[in-house]
Amino acid sequence: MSRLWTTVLLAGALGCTPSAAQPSSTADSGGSGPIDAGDAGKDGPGTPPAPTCFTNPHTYLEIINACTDAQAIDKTDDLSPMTLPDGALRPLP
Amino acid sequence: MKRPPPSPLLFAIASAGVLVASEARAQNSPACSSLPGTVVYLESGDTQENLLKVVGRQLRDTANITLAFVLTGSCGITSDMYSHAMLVGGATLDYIPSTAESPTWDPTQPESNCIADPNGDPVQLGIAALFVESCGLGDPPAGSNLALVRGPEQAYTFIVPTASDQQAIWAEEAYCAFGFGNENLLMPWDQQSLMFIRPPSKSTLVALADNIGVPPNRWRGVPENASTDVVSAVAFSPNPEPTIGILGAEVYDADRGMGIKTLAYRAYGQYHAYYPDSTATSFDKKNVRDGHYTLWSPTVYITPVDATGAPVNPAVAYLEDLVLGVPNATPPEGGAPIDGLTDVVQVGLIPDCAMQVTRTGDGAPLSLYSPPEPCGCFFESKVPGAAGTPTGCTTCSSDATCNGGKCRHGFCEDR
Repeated sequence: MSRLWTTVLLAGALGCTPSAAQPSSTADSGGSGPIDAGDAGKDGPGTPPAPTCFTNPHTYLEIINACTDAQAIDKTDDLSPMTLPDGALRPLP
Repeated sequence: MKRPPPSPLLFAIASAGVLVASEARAQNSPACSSLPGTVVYLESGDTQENLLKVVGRQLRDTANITLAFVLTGSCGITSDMYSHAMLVGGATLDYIPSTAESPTWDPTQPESNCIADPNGDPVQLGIAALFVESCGLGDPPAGSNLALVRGPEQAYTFIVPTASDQQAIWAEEAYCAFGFGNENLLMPWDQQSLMFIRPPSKSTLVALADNIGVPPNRWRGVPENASTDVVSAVAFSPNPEPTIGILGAEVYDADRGMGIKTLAYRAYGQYHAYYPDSTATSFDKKNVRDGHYTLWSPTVYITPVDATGAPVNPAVAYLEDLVLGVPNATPPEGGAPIDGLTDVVQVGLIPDCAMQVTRTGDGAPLSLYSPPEPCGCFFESKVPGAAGTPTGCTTCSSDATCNGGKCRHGFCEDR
């Protein structure tokens, strides 16, 4: 369980929990002009480009969200029936 | 990252697997010891069955080696090896017939059976399909003279009936489905009678458990003893939408078109869901290799070794060399060498030399990886459906044509 919550918290810190920011549909393909998420925020406060994928991944979250030409599947799901008020998943019964 | 303590149930169920094999004694089967050549007795996770069939046939035909094995849970295998357990006396084992014995046999058919010695046989090789730490075990006991060798990587998948509309599953959804079962409030996987899982000794469940955060002994669903049973249960479900199962990708690859399809998976913190392969229909394992698909574990070969660390049994050493792609591996009793690395690739496993990421535990974060002797081009040239020289690759016969790189398995690599 500790891994789960650590990961969820880490994801939340990056603003990519399922209930928060969903990535843009153009995020996966190099051909569609992905923004390197590694540059997010470097243009100064107030103008951070939306992170879509990473062109030069190093960390775990960058690796799993690296730019790729592989087929990506997106869908819209509502996890709220199984989440707590703080957005975390319910503990196992 | 702290791991849950081992479950006593886990080991009880693992041991039961071997006992069941004994009870299912096949009538009229030969004694395993009467089979020709060097007989290697081994226990393996059933996700490795296709590899054992393909390599086992060649070993019988070209190297005078017979593989006699029991397919059981990876955690039980590791425990058996660490305790030097014997195969149950009189147990029914599987073996691969030679071409001379059964000319029409192919890997789509069941193995032949033989009977273990009445006094049992020592297990000379265990093949688990996850990190041993996930079974609550660590290094081999002191003085056990056992070695763990990291073999090819094994991906795991969530599968649904072909008739299902579902294409992807998020880690959060898997957590809710398998952790809550009938109490899951998310559609469509909310009926645990239609969730086909494995017992908590099997690598498929344990490895996935570490990825989604549901401990092995808390999964909801119908445990199936064999991967093939999961395939059947999912494929023939009368209610496709809430039906889901878990499977090794190697098993899935062999059963594509059998009424099942794999789901793309989105890990915690990931932006999109991906298949193990670059598309739903390819076999290239691109997303496992580069880290976009996180559901995978290494296979681990466990065997007694001598003072130099070499396997005591030369036939086991040869088998390990084959699956690791050791160049110029030679059969211990002579005979034509086997291209084991191609077999590994074509059954859906990924040799370490083709990986671009690695991990230190099941479900642990991935990190970038540069294999010391890369074989990415070779891998891409051998996956089912590959034709010609892979894009960006150059064929070679020596280092001289590789512009400072190395010629490995017929292709230039950068080192």
